[in-house]
Amino acid sequence: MSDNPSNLVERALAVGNSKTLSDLIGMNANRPQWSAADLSSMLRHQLAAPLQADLPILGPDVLPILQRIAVASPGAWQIFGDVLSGDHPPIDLLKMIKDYARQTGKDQTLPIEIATAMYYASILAARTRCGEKITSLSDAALRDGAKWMIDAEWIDSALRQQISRDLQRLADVR
Amino acid sequence: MNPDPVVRRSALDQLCHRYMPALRAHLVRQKRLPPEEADDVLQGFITGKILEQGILQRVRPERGRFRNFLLVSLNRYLVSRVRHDNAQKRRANAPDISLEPQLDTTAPESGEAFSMEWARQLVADALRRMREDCQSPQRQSMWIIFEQRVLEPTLLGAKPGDYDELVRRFDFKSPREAQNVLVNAKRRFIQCLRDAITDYEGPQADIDAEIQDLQRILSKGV
Repeated sequence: MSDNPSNLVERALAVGNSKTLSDLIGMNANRPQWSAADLSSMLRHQLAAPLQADLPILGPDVLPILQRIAVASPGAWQIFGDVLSGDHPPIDLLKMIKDYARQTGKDQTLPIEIATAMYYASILAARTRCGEKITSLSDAALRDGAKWMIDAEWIDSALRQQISRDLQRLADVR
Repeated sequence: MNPDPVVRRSALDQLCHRYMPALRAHLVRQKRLPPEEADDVLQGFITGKILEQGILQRVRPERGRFRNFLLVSLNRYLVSRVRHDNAQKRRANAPDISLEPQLDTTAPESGEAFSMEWARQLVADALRRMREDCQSPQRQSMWIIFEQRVLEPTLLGAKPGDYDELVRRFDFKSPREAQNVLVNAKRRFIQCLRDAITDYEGPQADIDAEIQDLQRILSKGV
């Protein structure tokens, strides 16, 4: 632990003014600010995270489904990235990722940007690579979401290319 | 006030610890007293008003904030002290080397210096509480992340510690874990601030109103 809090306050007042203390008190506790570089790292980390570690927050029904898929496809579909970039991912996994994104975005346990990207990516994958609609979202709204992802500077190039391909397929399935 | 002298003594110690820096700032910055003179006035205020006259027994929460009561009491004490000193000098026909020439009677009574010092003390106190709260090995990450992501960037304009570094240091398994620690740290700080306000202003204080007031005072800048 580095600095004594009182010293830190004194230093803050010495280099700036008490306005910074006001900012500290007025911060939004539920909405941490992350830089684009941080979001990029977080998305990469999330895509590399094991499904078994994160998806169980959705409830007790999740584990049996994960186990069933693990038995059916040993070694495959272990991390979020596998599912969101796979050619024909299991639709149940895409639905769970969509629900996971919606829940973590709502309760803000993930940065809203990351949750939103996971949300659109899962729906788009289901729609274009599995031929299934897993949401009531219109294709037009889905296209807007995909374009938002392509424009976001913190989305890595591999995912951006995947989304671009999905967007093209979405035009074809109309 | 509790009649038990030990309890009263402890309450007084706490009161002095919490409010004396702000009262002293008021005397020095607002009333323009030399620091040693301010210390004498404060000592006289504690002995004469708080201990002997027991003015704290007159505190009525429904009649306003405790800190306003203290400030008004100190101002009244100061005026009576000046009058008393002057009367003594007139009687002794002594040359005028009293408090009065140094006392800035034109200074506004707003107590801005007092409020600013009070606000600074309170935030420092909240941070100290949180830091103590995070001493256990399980919670150290909370303080470090709060310090690197919130405190130093907000107070000192430092670049926030980046996410990759946090993951390396704390072995977070997913972004959800990191976000949770950060959100919990911020909530913990807000709770520490609320606890500090309760200790300063009493359990009857309207905490949300006090936080708004704190922001208003601090947002003026120094």
